Amino acid sequence: MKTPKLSRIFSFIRLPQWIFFKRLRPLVLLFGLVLLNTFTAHAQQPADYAIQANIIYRFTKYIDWPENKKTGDFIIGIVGDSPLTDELKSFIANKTVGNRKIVIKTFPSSAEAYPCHILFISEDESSSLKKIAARTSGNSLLLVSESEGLAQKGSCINFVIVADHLKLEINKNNIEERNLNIASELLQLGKLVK
Amino acid sequence: MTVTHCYSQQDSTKMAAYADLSLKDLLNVKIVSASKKAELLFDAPLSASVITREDIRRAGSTSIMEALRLVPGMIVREQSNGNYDIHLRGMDNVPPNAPFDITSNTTTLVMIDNRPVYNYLRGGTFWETLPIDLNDVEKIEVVRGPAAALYGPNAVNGVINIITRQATKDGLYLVANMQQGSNLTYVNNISAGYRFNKKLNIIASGNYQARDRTQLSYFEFNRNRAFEYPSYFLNFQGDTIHNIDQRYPDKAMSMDKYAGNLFVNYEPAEKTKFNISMGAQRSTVQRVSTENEATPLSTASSSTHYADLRATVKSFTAQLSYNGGTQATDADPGRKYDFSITNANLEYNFSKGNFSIKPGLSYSTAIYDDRKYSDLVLKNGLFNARGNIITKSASIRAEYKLLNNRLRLVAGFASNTFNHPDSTYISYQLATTYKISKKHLLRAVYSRAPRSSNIFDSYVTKTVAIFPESNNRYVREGLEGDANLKLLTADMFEAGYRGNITKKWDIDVEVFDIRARNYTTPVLSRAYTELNGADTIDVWPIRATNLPAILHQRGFTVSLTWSGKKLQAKPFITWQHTTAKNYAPYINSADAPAPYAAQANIYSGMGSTTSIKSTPALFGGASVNYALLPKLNLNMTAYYYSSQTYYHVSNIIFNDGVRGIDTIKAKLILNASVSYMPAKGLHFFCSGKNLLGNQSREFFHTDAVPFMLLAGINYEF
Repeated sequence: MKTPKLSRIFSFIRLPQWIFFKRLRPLVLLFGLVLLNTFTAHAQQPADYAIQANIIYRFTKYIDWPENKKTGDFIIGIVGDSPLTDELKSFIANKTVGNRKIVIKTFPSSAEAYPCHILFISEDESSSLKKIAARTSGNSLLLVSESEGLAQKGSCINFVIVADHLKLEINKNNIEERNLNIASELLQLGKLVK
Repeated sequence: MTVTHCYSQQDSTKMAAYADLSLKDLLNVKIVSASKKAELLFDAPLSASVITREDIRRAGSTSIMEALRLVPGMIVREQSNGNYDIHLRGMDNVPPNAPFDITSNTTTLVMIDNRPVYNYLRGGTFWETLPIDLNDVEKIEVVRGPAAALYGPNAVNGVINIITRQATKDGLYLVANMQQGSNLTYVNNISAGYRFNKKLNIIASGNYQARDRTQLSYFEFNRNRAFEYPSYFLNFQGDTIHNIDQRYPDKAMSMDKYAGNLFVNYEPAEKTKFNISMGAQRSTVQRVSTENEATPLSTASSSTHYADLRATVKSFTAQLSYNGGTQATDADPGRKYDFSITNANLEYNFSKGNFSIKPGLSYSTAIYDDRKYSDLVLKNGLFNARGNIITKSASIRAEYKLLNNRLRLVAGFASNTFNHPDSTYISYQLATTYKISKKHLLRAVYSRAPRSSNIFDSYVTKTVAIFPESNNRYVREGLEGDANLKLLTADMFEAGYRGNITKKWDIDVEVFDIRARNYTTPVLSRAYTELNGADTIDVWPIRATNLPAILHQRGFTVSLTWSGKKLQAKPFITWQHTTAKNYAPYINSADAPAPYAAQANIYSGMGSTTSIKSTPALFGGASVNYALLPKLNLNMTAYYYSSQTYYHVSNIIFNDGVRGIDTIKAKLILNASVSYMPAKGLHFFCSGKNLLGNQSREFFHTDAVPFMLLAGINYEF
């Protein structure tokens, strides 16, 4: 049995031969097409977190925080390792809340305090929601989650996926208990739960 | 379980577009949720895996066949550059000591968008004749275990369903992929299309692959060695085969194929959808395609075309497909035939609350005809007949969820009526899943599936040899079919567990126990006499016959998935053990004109248990993907099988304990692919295949599989 020679393995490196090789014609054509279109904008399918990041940013326009929370940086906290962190970071890069800079902070689920305005609890940390809600009870922070049933368990706004669309479950009581006001426009877009 | 995380490559252009949308509009954007996709698979009642086009691209796979190495439970062995022997879980080389046609995979149903591409000549899949290539693939779904009640006959030990890609945004659609490398390997794919609006999109695609073998020699069974540029071969009987150049016109070539497709998707209204696809392909390959009695490789060629129409109107789904053309399993004359296969399918989906039910009807006819290519007096063609395998099925699938959706019961029944044998086989699938919690799921399946009969076994009438005995008396050895063979049937019990053990680790375990019976092989049977004018002819029939052997396979597959932000890893392994009860290594009946037939025949093994050594005890792989930088991606894949021994029919013929037996050494294949994305949608990549350089062959005396280097580009507009 003949062993393949090294030259055969690297046969494709012999570039000049390629150009005249009949099999390569579709390639040349293809390269042309690629060059033609390389820098044109195009899109992939949207992943849910890009939209989620966008929506979370919109909350800042529909929620009213008490006066003592209206100075300094606007902080969005995230509990758990979530793709949303990167998504939010790139999304808020050149955005502000009023004149305030937006800062993204990640917190462990065991943190003693959560000094922030919006706190997002990723799906992985859903089980910690009750604990975090109790620990931050009365604090003016908007708890946002993304697992079925969490709006009933202490979250203020909960993301759910229904038929390939993101939906909001809003618990008005939980929001008001935290001295936050929610605009009726936002209330109308979500499903109210108690 | 596959989780596709592609968040790191978010599209800033699209994000900017979202910024202009109102909150209300944002909530109306249709999303593709990776977590949801994974969740669906997590809940699947059957053993299932999915690989996506992204998985395939990152692994640098050069073909659909090679990409199957990324799927748990697959045994994928390369026969010559780009041609593979593909089995699901095993049940390969069964019965042992049989011709290649019998031992290739005839029990896995391969489909493209639910259209079966099963070859009815002798059962199985001619992989190189799939008209689509990587560019057309959105994902590949693999279901392990008998699944005929849901997918139709021939899904005896599983289903491979290839789902094609569609344009997802309005305007121009362009996807191109080309790569080339060692052994003059060229893979070129291009698709172009246009999406007019949400209702209508059209894509045309073309693909071309050319590959050379890694060696020029051919192994000969009779002299048990390989010959480079042989001038002749000796066959089983020791007769000389001279037409080498006719059989092997291009000795260096392993694959030369091209195809074109057209896909039209039209959705005139919500819940009304029409998909039309059509195409044609031409291929010539040197692979183990049939028994030529001299050497494993044959030059197989195909020229086929297809059309597929799927319609969904409200709760009805209908599919009508046609596939036809001309094929030759070997370039030796008398191996060619025409075929045309038509499938029709109608399903109705009814659901109310926690209950859903789906009745269905299907009809298929597979006509094969080789009379045009043979002399019907000499009977020197492949099967010398026009045959038709007809299958009519009625099926019902019901699903019920209870205990607050934690317990799910799925039952599928199908009644399959065949023309050969003229009888009805019931197939069923009973599955249940129980969600202990959101993160842990237990499941169990009990199922049965038959394989339809094939043209060759039902219809063949072929003269193998004629030799004189005395004056006016001859012996004619001839292959004969039997249209009333019992159908190969498999029963399986399976139990499984899926869990999210930590937030980054997922596990999927399946334990299976499969029994299969009614294998067939050509058997030398009782002689009879024919009178032809003044001549008396003693006919020695070699007839397709059911064997008493019952196959029993037990095993388990474990798959793990690690999904980190930059690193994803997916190792998987299968352990299995197969035994055959009642198997005897003889291919003659008790009353056959063979020496000692009464003592040594297909029934001599009754009561015995033989272990089947042709399926590796351990096989599996891993894929690891690491996003080094946002634009630079590194992917490593591994594939492994433990040693195994293939028993070819020549083992029985030569019976010297050497010829016809090949032990395939354990092999670990490591591949790496690095891709660089200089601009959105453009990837330059370079892949090394078989980095360890272990050249050992992967199938019975076929080509060496050396290290290969490939480079290419992938472009998506």
